[in-house]
Amino acid sequence: MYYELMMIINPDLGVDEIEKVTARFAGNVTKNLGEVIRIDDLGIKTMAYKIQKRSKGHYLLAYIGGPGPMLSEIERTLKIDENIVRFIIIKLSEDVKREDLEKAKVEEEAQVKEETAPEAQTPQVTETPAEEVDHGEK
Amino acid sequence: MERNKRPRPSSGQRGRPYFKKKTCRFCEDKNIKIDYKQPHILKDFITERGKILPRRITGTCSRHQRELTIEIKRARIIAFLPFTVHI
Repeated sequence: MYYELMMIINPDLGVDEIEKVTARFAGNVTKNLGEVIRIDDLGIKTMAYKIQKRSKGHYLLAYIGGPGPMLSEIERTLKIDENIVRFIIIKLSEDVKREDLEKAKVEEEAQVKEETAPEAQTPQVTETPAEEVDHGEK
Repeated sequence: MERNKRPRPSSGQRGRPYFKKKTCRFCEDKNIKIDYKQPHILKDFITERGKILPRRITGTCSRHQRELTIEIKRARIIAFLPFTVHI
């Protein structure tokens, strides 16, 4: 089973500190019999509301795979880390394959750029990752 | 966005209010993904105060409305969308 994990970390962190956070996270996933497929840096964005008196956050998006019980342990450690302001774990549809997540990277980056562009230019995505496939099946 | 506004009933024949037929945007264009990571799409379906707009106003079909509410709530958690806007 694959999961999507989005987290907001402290925007004031330097490059090597971010590296440390992601390394710790990756180590945690592998320790709990999971695997990190990829981690994307979505950059610093303005948040819709303040969290811990900050109005900006550094967004990271990770795709992980592994057994369900690993999640509670991952959640626990993410909560402990002070640099991680908030996170959300989303279970992806069962028919998502590893390759989908690996190649989705390029599209995802295009999407992030699109977010600032006007809404009329919605990207034509052919390879939809995860959930969207799920919804289509219903 | 035109479809987000409640259509003002203009009187048609026999004085009956006339409504323009609304269609689900996601059914019309299958390429639009409802995704919490794309708040600019979700923004059209919330009010100024951040509330989720009902189906009768936006014209979204029931399946897509269901997906929409889930994704809006996810976007709120990760601070892409506000829970409330204080005016």
